Amino acid sequence: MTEKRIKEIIAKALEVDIAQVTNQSSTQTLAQWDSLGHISVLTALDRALDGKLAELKEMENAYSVESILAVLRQHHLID
Amino acid sequence: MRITEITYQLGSVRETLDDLQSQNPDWRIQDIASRTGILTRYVTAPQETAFQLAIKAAQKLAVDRNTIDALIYVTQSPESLIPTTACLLHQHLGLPSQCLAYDLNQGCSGFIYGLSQATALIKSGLSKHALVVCAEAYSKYISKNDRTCRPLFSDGAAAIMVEESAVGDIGPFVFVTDGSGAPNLTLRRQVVDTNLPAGSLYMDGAKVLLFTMGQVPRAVRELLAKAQLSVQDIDLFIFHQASKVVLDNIQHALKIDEDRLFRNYQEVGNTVSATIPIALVQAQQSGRIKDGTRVLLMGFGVGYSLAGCIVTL
Repeated sequence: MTEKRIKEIIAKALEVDIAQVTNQSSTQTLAQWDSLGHISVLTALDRALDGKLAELKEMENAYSVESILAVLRQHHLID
Repeated sequence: MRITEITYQLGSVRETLDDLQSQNPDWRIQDIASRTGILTRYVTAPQETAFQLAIKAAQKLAVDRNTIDALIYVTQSPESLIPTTACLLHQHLGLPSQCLAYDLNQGCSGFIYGLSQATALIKSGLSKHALVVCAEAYSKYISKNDRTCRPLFSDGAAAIMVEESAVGDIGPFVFVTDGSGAPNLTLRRQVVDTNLPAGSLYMDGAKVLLFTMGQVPRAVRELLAKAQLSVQDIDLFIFHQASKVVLDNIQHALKIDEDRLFRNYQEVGNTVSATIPIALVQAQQSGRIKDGTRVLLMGFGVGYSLAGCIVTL
């Protein structure tokens, strides 16, 4: 799984153009990334990662692209 | 032993998506409904309480009340702290004095907890005819403009008889507790809405979802292993009717066929500890379960707390 693919999944979950999803994107910067949007992001990522996302305790506090990528990198889930 | 009878009572006020939208024009109600899957909820009227729903549910039971020797009242909406509400319910139902009675404070996992207690009491010889009553009125804790909680929770009560029997079986059980999740679904004492003197319910939906996504599939696998069964050996899965997104994730993780997963959150909402017994009634009414059906039940959420069991009806 690549960083690009993670951003594509987030963009699709939030129903925004991929160009709007940068490393700085977060629940604070994207209007669509509200509490409902965050639930969509989590479920989409978990599906794409075959259920591994939910086991990562750090995901509880990951509300930005940067923090999500950091968690996934820490657990060797992205290239 | 077996579950011999279940009855239920929902809150008397029906609320639809249109009601929520008209009261909260700024809500994107279809976005909310697409995730919750909940179209209709039932809440208590202002003077109506969970206890009153409990009485009504229990009064519908056909069982001879003179035989009941154990009463377990599962609630997080107690009518009374001192004395225990179970004593009040005992008196309202006219149960015999030779009957143990106590409250059990659990939410979403509460029915399975109550069932495990009833089972243990019967196996130990302390009871032959145990009544478990689950009753909840979370709406009393929820602000009218709480977009996270209000579209989810309904008020309801269920009364369940558990009795010795030569047919049917209850067990094994599995339990998970994680108190680190307590702040993510809690009754905050600080009054943020003066119409809610008891405090306000707070929920971090994403964190609670992560708990269910991580723990429920694992607990189901553990429970099946205890019973030496596989997913395919279960006739029907009845999970706590938390919401569509929660059940969808569980279904996907465990690869459960849609026709073996029961859903009724659409028309009933999330009645906390009463969701599973209400679902059992509706599953029976719709012909999806009958004598001999093997059902996996699992409740999970506030606590965090999770409890599951396998029941042969």
